[in-house]
Amino acid sequence: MKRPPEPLDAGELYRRHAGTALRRARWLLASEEDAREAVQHVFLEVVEHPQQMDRFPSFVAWLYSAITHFCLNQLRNTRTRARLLAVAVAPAGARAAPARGEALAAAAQLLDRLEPEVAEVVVYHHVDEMTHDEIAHILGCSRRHVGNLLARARVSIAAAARAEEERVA
Amino acid sequence: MTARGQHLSQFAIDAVAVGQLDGALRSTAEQHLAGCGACRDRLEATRADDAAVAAAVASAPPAWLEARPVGGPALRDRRRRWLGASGLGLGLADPAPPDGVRTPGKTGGGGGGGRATSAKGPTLSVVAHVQRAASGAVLELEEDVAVEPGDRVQLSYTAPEAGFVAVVGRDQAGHVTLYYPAGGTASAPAAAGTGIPLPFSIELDAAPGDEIVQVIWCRDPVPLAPLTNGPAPPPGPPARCAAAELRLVRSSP
Repeated sequence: MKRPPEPLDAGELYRRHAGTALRRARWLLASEEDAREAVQHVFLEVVEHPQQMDRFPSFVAWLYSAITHFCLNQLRNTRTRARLLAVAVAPAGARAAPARGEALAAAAQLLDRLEPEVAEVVVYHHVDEMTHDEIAHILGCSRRHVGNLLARARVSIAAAARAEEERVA
Repeated sequence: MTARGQHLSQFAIDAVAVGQLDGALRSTAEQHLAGCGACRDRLEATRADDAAVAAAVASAPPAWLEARPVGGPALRDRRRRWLGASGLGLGLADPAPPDGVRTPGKTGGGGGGGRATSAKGPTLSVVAHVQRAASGAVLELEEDVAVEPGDRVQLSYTAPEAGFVAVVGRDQAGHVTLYYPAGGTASAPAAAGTGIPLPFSIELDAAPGDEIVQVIWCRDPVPLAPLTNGPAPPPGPPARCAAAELRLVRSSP
């Protein structure tokens, strides 16, 4: 034995990419505490389930996806969502919050109606304002598939709107 | 990249900052950065932020992550059909290799790790490590080191300059397996450095026959389809690329 393998040293990955992960989580969660929790969660995923990274073109692409999924799940949490809405939507009503807050709040409200992959694309497109090329890069799919996912999101959103109208009526 | 706005997305900035944006996205980002001071400032700020976080992590690594290799005590389990191995060297097919890169002759069957290098300067090479399924011991692969089903293999490379890497395998039946990168259409970015692990490993199964694994390094991304399509062995690495072959030999029962 000459030296142990150092295939994907978690500490090194963390040193190199924790900054990216933290920025991403802060951007989506608007909470330092929750952002740090998200970063810890995704790097433990690296350690425990590294096969998740296989289909991604780069570690950064996987990291974006992992952080986004984690944050979406956090936003599904009622307590977190309520806080998000209080923080982001209420100021938005006073025109003090950026469009990101509104988009995030809208995405949060739709989470339960959207498939995870669709919700992820909605965040990339509407919150991050990524191009279809960038989204396709992260997802490892074609631009057409990105368009299809966004179309499905629009359909789901429209259906939800109709259902809400009928419920109110 | 900038179709939806006047500036690069944060994803593009983050990926450029760590050298993980490739292909058309990288070209577009570089073109934009050349003409956009605001995005250059964002990139510099991102790099500074990354450096600050990295320094903080280095001085006080989190206890929950410290000294933990990815995949726990085992290496990553993703691929199949690696049934024994010999060493490999990485040689340049490019008539104009990068400075300091050795230019070996064509490597062939029977292994021969790191052989056929001739030029001066640092070595461009790939090293394989195997973790024994039975004992958990980790060995650096040399010539004619047999491995068993269940063993796990990890490749690391040394390259004097950044480029793009793909790894393909071809078994005795002529079936081609793309080992790396998984997904995508082009070879993946590979940083310059020594002993850099490729981000995948392979669990050997009991499939019969030898397999040739070719590691291809190029200065630019190359499409993967020509590397994996067709029954005949690849005729060699594309122009401006380096390649090496690893012969995987099933151990005798």
